[in-house]
Amino acid sequence: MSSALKLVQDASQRNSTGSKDEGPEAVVRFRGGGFDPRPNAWIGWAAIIGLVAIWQLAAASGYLSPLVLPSPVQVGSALLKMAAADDFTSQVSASLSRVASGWLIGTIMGLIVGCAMGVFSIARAGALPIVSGLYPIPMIAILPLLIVWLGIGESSKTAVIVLGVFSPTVISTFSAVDNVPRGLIRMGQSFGLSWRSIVLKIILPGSLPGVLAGFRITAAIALILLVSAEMIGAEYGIGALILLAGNLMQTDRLVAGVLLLSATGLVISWLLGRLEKALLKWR
Amino acid sequence: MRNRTIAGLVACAISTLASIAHAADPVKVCGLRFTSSAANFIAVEKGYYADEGLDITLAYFDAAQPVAVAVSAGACDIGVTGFTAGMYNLAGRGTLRIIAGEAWEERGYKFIGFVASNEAYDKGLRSIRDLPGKRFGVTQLGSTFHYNVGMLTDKYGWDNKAVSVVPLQSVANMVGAVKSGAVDAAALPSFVANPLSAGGAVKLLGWVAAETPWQVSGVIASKDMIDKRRSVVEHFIKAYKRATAEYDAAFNHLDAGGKHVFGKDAEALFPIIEKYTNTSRAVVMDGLPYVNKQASYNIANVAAQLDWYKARGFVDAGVTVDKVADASFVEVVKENFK
Repeated sequence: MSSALKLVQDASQRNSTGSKDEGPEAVVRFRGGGFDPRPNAWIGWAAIIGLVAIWQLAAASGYLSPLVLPSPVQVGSALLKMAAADDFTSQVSASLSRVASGWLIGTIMGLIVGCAMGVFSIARAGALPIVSGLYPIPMIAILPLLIVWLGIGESSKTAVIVLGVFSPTVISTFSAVDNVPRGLIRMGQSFGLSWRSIVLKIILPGSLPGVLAGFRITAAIALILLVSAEMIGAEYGIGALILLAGNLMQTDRLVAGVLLLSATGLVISWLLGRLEKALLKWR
Repeated sequence: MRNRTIAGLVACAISTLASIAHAADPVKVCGLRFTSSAANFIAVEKGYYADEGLDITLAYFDAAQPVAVAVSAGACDIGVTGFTAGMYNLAGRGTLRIIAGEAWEERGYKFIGFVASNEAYDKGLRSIRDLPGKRFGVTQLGSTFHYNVGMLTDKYGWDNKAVSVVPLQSVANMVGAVKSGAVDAAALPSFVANPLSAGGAVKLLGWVAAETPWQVSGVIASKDMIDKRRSVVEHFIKAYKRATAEYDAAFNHLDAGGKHVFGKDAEALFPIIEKYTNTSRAVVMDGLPYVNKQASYNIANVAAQLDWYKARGFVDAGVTVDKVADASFVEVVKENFK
C-alpha cells in the first residue's frame, strides 16, 4: 500500500521536473512512422541470391556433402536435364491440370457451403462439425480407401486435392462472411433493401477480401497435396517425379523437382495477387 | 606391507586392462521387422554377437530404402535390408557396401507372390503368362517389386512396356488397388498374399522364386565401418554366420515334392522370430525365405540387377559391382541363378 503510494509520488515528481526542463514550448519529436510495409522488390532477390551463394560455397568447400544436399550447380544441371527431356511438358501439364481441376472443384464446393454457412444459421450449425471433422483427415492415410472408391485414374488424384481444399475454403469463406461489418448490413436494412440485395451488394463484396486471402492458403495446400495425389499410380507429374527421385536417392533430381514445385507456387501466388488487385479495386 | 601395496596395484592394473580388453564394441544394427531377417534376430537373442564381444543395439525401419540411407549417413553401422535401386545409388557414392547375404528367392520357397484381382481373373488373367496388357501394381519404380515384373519380362521375352507398371508407393495401397480391381495384378509378400487369397479377395498366380530366383536382400555396412573397424565387422559376420547355419538347419528344407518344410530345430526358433517381428506363428511360417548357410550372396546376380536398373536410368551409369559389393567377408556365389 505504502510502496504503491511512493511510486505514484515518484512518477508525479518526475513529470513535474521533466516539464520544468523542457519548458512550456518544448518541441516533441515526431514519434509516428515505421511499421508501414514498404515495397522493396530487390531485397527479396538479393536474399535468394545470397542464400544460393552460401549454399554453393558450402558445397564447393566440401563442408556440405552431396549426400546431405546437392550443390546448386548439380541441382541446376538436373533441372536443365529434366526440362530437356521429351516428357517434361507431359510431367508439368499433368500436374497443373490436377491442381487446377482439384482446386477449382474444391473451391466451388467450399464457396457454396461456406456462403450458406455464413448466411443461414441452420446451415452453419449443421455443417460446422462436419467440416471441422473433415479438415484434419490426413490424405496419405486414406489413400488405400480412395483407391478402392475411385480407382487409380485421375478421379482419385483430383479427389485428394478437392478434399484438401474444401474444408479450409469453407472455413475462410464463412468467417469472411461473418466479418462483413454489421453496420453496413443494418444500414442496408434501414434503407429498405431486399434480402437478396443485401446478400449480393453488401455481404458478397464485403466478404471478398477474406475469401481471396483464403485462396492463397488453399492454392498452397493444393500444391502440397499434389505429391500425395501423385502417390496413386501416377505415370507423369511433378509429384511423381519427386517421389521417384527420392526412392532412387537421386537427390539432385529431388531438389530440382521441389524447386519446380515452389516455382509453380510463386507463379500461382503472383496470379492471385493480380486477381486480388482486379477484384478489390473498389477498396 | 609395501609388497602388498604393490601387489594390490598390479592386480588393480591387470583387472583394469582386462576390462578394457573385454569392453564390448558398440554396433548399431538397423533393419526391418521382417521374417527374412530371422538370422539376425537369432544371433541377437542367442547372444552370438555378445560372444564375439559386440554390444548390439537394434533399430527398426519400415522400408528398405531408409535403412540404406541411415547406414550411408553413419546413423547405423550395419544394415540388414533389401537391395533397392536407391541403395545401389548410395553404394555408388562410396558410402556403403554389401558384405553378406540374407534372403534369396530360391525355387520351392514362397517369399513374394504374384496375385490377380478377382475381376481380372474372371476376364482371363489365369497365369503369369497372361500378364502382358495388364496393369501391374508395384510400390515404386525401381523397387524390388518392379524388378520382379522386369525379370518376368526378360524371361518370357515380352515387350518392355507390355505390362503397364503402376507405382502405388506402399504395400497398403497395392492391396487396396488389387482387391478393388483398380490394378489387374500385383506382387505381394507371402504373409500378405496368402491370407488375401485364402479369404477370396485375390487369386494367387504364382511365386517369384518359382519363376526367377534372385538375391533379394543382404547385410550392408558403411564404408567407414569397413575401413576403420574391420575387425568388428569380421566378428559381426562370424556371429551372423552361426545364426544362418542354425537357420539353414531349421528352415531350409524341401520335401520330395518340392514343398517347403521345417526341420526339428524350427520349433525352438519360432518364438524368437515371433518376438522380433511382432507377428503370429502363422505369419512367420508363411514368410521364411531361403537364407544361405554361409551367409553367401550371389554377386553375379547383384551385377545383373545393376545392369537392369542402369538400362532404365534408375541407377547412375558409373555404379559398378566393385563399388557395391565387398566379397572379402563371406564366400560369394559367382554364377548367376538359372
